[in-house]
Amino acid sequence: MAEGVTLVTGARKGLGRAIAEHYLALGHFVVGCSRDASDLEHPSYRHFLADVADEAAVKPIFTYLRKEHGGLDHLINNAGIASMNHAMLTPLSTVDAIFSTNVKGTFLFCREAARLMQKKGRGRIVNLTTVATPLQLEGEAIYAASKAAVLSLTQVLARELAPLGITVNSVGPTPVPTDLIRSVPKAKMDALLARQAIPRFGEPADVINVIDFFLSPASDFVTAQNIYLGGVV
Amino acid sequence: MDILTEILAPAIEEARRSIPSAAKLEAKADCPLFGDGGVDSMGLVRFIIMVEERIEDRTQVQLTLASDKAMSRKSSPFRTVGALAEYVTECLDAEGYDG
Ligand SMILES: NC(=O)c1ccc[n+]([C@@H]2O[C@H](COP(=O)([O-])OP(=O)(O)OC[C@H]3O[C@@H](n4cnc5c(N)ncnc54)[C@H](OP(=O)(O)O)[C@@H]3O)[C@@H](O)[C@H]2O)c1
Repeated sequence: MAEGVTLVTGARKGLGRAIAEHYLALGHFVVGCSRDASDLEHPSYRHFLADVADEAAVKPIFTYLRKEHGGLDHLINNAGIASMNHAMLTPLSTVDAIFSTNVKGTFLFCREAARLMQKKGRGRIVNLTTVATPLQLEGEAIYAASKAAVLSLTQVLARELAPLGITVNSVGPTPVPTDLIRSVPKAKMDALLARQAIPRFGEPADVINVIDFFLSPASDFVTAQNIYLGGVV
Repeated sequence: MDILTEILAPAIEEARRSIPSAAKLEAKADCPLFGDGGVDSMGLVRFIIMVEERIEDRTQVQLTLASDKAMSRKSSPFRTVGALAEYVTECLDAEGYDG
């Protein structure tokens, strides 16, 4: 298992699926999770049914990693949900759901992954942020705020985990055509793309390229960094 | 189950091998665990993880030893090895574990 063990949350579809397939192709053993079942079949893939914010469902993933793989090398905290709505019309149940998945889930996986990684004195954690935060997108208040929290977690955890040889970084995609953004109206999307330095949709490969950089053994001096795609700052 | 000999002693052995500040730790009730003569704060964090994992493997119970309750006690359950053994027993009792 020279390439290591990589855990990808939200691996059933979208970016998570592409990330899982990419690391499988590179020879990693990949462990994925999502709330619904995955049809990804590969001898080096294992899928868990778990809501990332459900501690009781998540713990067995880490017990499995500890017992069957002796630890974890990389965590990609990809599971995330969004919701487009005017703040004045946003129900608190949406706030709870978004913060649960995006913030609580990300924290829970960081915590459990770090517990495993610290034993080997090395590890890589990559979280998913979004350009919605720096662009202060109207209609995405809760989503943008939840990812601002992920950014903050990334930076603080990077410091807490640095002495243990674990780096924590994040990548903030521009819109990538997945189910996540399917419901955003075209005019809104065009206006959004126009605010990027490079006004095009992102591809999973754009995101994976940044993750590859963070996971690289040569990136052991790179931590607490967030890279936005498309020239958004 | 005797927590000191069955959980803490093997965890201490592992800690002595892998945690720099744990070199002087011993499986004796009066041995200082954290603070003067014990491990440093990162050492304590790593030691607690080892203990929690051993408890889970032995009992299937997932304890969170560094809870707000534990941290706010006047007399820290992490001051000596014996204090931690007592605290683990108490937590397992609270979880209804009777093995
Ligand atoms: N696409 C974009 O334009 C874009 C832009 C910026 C950032 N991002 C970020 O990129 C990440 C992936 O987004 P995507 O576009 O790939 O979204 P997507 O196509 O909607 O896929 C989301 C994935 O996460 C899983 N998931 C959602 N909630 C979960 C939960 N509570 N527990 C476990 N798994 C959960 C879903 O599977 P189940 O439904 O089976 O649980 C699915 O596999 C997110 O963090 C998102 O915020 C995306």
